[in-house]
Amino acid sequence: MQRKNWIIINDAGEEMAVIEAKNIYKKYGDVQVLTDVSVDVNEGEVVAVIGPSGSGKSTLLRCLNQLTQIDSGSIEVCGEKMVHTEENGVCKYADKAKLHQIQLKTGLVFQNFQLFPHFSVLKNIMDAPVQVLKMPEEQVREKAMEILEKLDLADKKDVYPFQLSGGQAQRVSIARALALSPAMLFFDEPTSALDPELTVEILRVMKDLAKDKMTMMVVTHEMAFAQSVADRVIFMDKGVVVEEGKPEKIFTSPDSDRVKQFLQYFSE
Amino acid sequence: MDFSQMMRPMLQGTVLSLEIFFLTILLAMPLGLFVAFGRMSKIKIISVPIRFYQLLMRGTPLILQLMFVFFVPYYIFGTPFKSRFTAAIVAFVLNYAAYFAEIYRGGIESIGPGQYEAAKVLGYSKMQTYTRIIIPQVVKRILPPMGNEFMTLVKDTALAQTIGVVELYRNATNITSRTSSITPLIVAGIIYFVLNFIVEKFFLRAEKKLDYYQ
Repeated sequence: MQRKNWIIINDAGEEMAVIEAKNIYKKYGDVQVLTDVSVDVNEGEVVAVIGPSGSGKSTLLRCLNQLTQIDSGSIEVCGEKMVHTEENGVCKYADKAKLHQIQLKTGLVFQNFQLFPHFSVLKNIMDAPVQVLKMPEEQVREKAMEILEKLDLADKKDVYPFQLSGGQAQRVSIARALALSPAMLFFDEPTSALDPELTVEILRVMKDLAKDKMTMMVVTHEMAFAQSVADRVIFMDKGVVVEEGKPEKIFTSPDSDRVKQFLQYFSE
Repeated sequence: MDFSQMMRPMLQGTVLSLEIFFLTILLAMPLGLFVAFGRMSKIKIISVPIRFYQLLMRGTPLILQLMFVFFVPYYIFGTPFKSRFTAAIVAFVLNYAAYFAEIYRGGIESIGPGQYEAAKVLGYSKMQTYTRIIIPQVVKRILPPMGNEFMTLVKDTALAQTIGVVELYRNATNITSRTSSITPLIVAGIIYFVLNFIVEKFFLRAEKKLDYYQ
């Protein structure tokens, strides 16, 4: 496998599915949060997941990057089996080493940043590559500075997270995820904690990443972003995928009444 | 008895008090960490006995615990504790570990789940998550309550005299009863105060050192 910018291309030169999730079921206590959800994310694609609060969007994201375990179904990341369900209904996760390896293939940007407050900006970005991937510090520093410059944060490298604005903090958390060179990035409502001005700042960064063909799956309430940047939009409600398709279709002539009803608030 | 004659045993007592203080800190701090993790364990056969131990240590007077540790071996093995000093250390460590553990637990539980999740998605192992991400933040948060405990311990060392450890306070009362003067008690008070003045300075310094982040 070789890497061009953010794209992974397999030996045959074809783009591959980064995420293949099939028939996912997930319950929290008595509440069925995900019911038979299947999603794919292809190489270089930007997928936006929209829908009302409590529809299971964030849970889906958490299942896809191992923050929550599924009850049944299967998930493959870059062709590697993370979890599958046998015919007798037993849900089996891969072993610890494999899960760790799969974990590093994807990055996650949190709604409330979750930077490490006791590390400087540069250390926030460098620590995982150095400590987890055991990469040489000099090489990591070079790469971290490159990313910081790209995200217009080079002058903040020695600053601590509490000194950053929300927009800067979120950009640092994107930089931190990118430093591990993941095959794709998940975003869990990355702008929900930001004011409109800072939201634009972050959406611009995400747009640039999309231009660079970074594979992304974005749970968002920013309909304008979903409409203009996403290659595909998934609409979820009550734990099921109600409709899925190109943004032009979803936003102008959705098949489902539920989608129509939800989106009418945004067109007003 | 002139002043320098009085000061000799007083200073010897101070050294013994300091030995109790430092040994207790040195042993109770790591032990408290194990107790804290045991208390937070989801396995009931670990967490319930530990909770009971903590309740016992925090729920009964330290002075009573000292007596117990010193005399109980006599009823079980027929011989009392060989060294009064060791008995005192055992009692102090058991008692303070219980308190330290609660402070650690409070600190650890005050770190939100988001930090653990961020560490997990970045590929940190459980051990790395604790040593690199959680513990450093906990240290900053527990400094004020730990300062409290340290200062209390300086004064609590005086309780060791109940099982015959001749530390600072016992020396002061000995001289007082011999000379019918309260000067030794005043001097002892000043020494305890100065020691805690140093402890306070130390903690202020540590807090200042960790002031660079929030």
